[in-house]
Amino acid sequence: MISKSLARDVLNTALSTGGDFAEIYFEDTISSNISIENTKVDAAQTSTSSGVGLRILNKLQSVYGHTNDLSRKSLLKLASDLSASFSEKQKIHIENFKVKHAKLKDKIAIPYDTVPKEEIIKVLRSASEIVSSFDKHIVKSEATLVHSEKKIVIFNSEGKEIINHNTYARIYIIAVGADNGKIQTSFAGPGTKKGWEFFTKEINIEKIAKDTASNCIKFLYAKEAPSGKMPVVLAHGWGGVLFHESCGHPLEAAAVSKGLSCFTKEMVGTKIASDVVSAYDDGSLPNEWGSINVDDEGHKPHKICLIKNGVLSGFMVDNFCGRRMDYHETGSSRRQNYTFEPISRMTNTYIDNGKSTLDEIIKATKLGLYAVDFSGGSVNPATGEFNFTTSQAYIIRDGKICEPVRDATLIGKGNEILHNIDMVANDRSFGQGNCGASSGYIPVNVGQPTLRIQDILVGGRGGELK
Amino acid sequence: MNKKIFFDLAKSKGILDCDLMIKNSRSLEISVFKGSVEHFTVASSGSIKARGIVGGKFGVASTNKDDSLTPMFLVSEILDTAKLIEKDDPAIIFEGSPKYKRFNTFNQDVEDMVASKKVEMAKNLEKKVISLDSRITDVEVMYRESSDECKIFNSKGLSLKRKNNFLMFYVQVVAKADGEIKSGGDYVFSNKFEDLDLDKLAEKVVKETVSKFHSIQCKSTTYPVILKQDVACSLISAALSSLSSEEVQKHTSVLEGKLNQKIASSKLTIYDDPLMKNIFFSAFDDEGVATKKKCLIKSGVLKMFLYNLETAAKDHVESTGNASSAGSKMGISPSFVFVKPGKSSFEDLLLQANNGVYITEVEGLGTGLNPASGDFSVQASGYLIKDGKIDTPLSLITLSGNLFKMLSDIKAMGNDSEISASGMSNPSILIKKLSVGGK
Repeated sequence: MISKSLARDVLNTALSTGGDFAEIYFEDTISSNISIENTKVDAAQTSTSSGVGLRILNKLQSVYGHTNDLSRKSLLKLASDLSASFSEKQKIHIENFKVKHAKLKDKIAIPYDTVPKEEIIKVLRSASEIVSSFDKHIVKSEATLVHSEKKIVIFNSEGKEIINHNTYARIYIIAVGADNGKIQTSFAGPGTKKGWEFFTKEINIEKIAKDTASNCIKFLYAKEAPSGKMPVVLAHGWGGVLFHESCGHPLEAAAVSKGLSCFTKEMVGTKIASDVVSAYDDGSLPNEWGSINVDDEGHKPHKICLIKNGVLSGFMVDNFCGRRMDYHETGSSRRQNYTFEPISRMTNTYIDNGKSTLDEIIKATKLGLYAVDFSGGSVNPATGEFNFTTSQAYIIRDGKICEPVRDATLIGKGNEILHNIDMVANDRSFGQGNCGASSGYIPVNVGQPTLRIQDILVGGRGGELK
Repeated sequence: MNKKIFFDLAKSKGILDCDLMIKNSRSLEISVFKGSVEHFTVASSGSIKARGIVGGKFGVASTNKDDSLTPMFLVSEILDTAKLIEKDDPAIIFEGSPKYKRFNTFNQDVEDMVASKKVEMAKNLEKKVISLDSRITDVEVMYRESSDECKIFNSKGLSLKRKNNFLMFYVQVVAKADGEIKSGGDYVFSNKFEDLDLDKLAEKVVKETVSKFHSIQCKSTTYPVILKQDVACSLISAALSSLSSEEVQKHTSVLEGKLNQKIASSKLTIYDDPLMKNIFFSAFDDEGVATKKKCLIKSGVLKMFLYNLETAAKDHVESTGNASSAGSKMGISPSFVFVKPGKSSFEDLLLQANNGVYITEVEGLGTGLNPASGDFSVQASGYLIKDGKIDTPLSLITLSGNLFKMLSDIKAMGNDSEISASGMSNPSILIKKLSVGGK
């Protein structure tokens, strides 16, 4: 822990050369994992990590340092080293901190440290057994629980001391099938900020394990995805990775503030998507994987309207990038841990419900691809060029969902694809992911209702769709 | 941490075989934007990872806290986790290799140069980039240096240390013209400032980025394809993951049973050479086993799989010195991959391709490529090759195929090898045919 008096001295040293803002981010994390491979416990580990990230801002310049040496001497030296970047008179002096405890959004009925390891192993083993015994062509099954408890204390030059706590847990289930030189990997990874009750009462791990194994075998024998331009129906939930990559990242102040995005401030109020598209980022939703109690600068999250009926409405903004844009922060500042400087990131990002139904959308599609689940993707925010890859997809023929196809990669330009969405259903749901960018990997939700893109380039190895 | 206290405590608790991996690193990052320093980041970090054998099983713990409680935490976590482990694989603490090669990979000059000089170099690089072409609208220059130290100690008396540092300049640019936006980026790295030609970097990035204007999507079909060095590097690295003996033993490698068989074109020869005298030099792996130069693929024939102590014991062979610590497990990975260059210049490759596609960038390898099966379908960009010359730029195309089929279809290896920051040396490669998706 960092005492108040040490925090005060560190911040005053940091501000001694004229910085207009300084912040200490202290973190103490304990994480553990237990992993079952082919029904046997294969790995178990507990690790602890603590450290401090110290940031000084002065106008459009940021200096940052981090260390795991929490001694007074080390922290004062870090503050002094960082402050050497500036040479003005001290403007701000800290005397006291007003303490604020972030309201914890997630109710935890059964904390993980009260669950015997044997019980966790029992649940994981059962998942691994279900996968392994599903079919003789399953060569590997894995079930892993990853859990972390993170205590965070932020002290800043506004005289605030913000205390926060995050619990994250995720079970990964992996099935690997092999036959005749072909190998197929299927994956499921339900994540939660709730306690152990989530895995034992709220979701059905055994069903998830069975579905994962079943998908693995189904797609092991599926034919290759077609290639070329075609209509694509993106399923609700994980289909939202399209919006996450193609528009979410380019709408972060990290890209917008420097002109490194295909979207600009000047485009606010103009049409960037078809009328059926409204999109939000909302870190304040209760019990969602991407939700936050406060952001990593200590600000409250709220619902940000990004696109309203096709019109660009706003961005996700952090304190520092907001300065260059002349925008106020939006509670969007996030980082993986103390070793990363925080920056604007997504939380729970989604396209809102429309008026169609899944049935109507499938029926309206003569020949195309129904993309149900995805392994992820990436984007170049500057050009808007994005890609993402399906882990479960089917061909739609004459308004019916038909044969499964392997590994389709969908590519396009974010600013173009938004105009190309012509039908949006009313079945919005979320999928849990880990998003990687300059401030590390953070938990995010992607979300959307089922929707159709009229025309998008699919790259598969199966040739033209007939 | 006082390692003697740890080893004594472990012994007193009945952990006779154990080891410690202690890592320390320091880094400096400077980013310059619009003529000013935008970010300046200094960091120091350390971590301690301990493993111990209890009842024939490995217990593992790690922390970045280094205080009087650390030995107790590590020992108690080793005891707690070891008893959970059920897998029957051999757990081994290594007694040490007879000899370890030496080569200096640390250059004090990098640390000694004052930060203001590094800032000045970054600012000059930004200025140079902007001056080269009026269509360049945004430039971001990043300087990064890092020094890393890794020590391994074990209860059998092994005591090893390696230390290295490097510095890197990275440039990202955005160019705009006629409503088209193009971006590009490249880097140079070394552990000596004098090795870096920043003017050349600036010229290369700008030239490549502005050459992307007026791009099209080509017709979807198969083409002879030239892979630029870093594209070939990414694809070959992914294919090499199938050389892990762990994957073979678990039946998840498509190369299982293919030892001494032809798996690639006879034009392909690949070495793993951790002892090559460059900044990637490493005399020992993460279990303390001395490394050596090995031929992985010789003229297309698979010569060996890579081992750590555990998988080697299972196959009754010796470790190849490829242990790589990853989380709570001891994984396996190649060290420094050297792909033997061919005789063709890049111009020769273009002539041999005649009409085809030159792929300069691929995106989405994390999800669009399955290293286990080798199947891939990824976003790509590059140029059409027309009559043996580079022609119209291509963007938003897809490149798809299977890695192993691709390696069998190698038509020619270039003589233009480059070393990537990920630790691999390879030339441009001409593939007979690959599927390219566009219109």
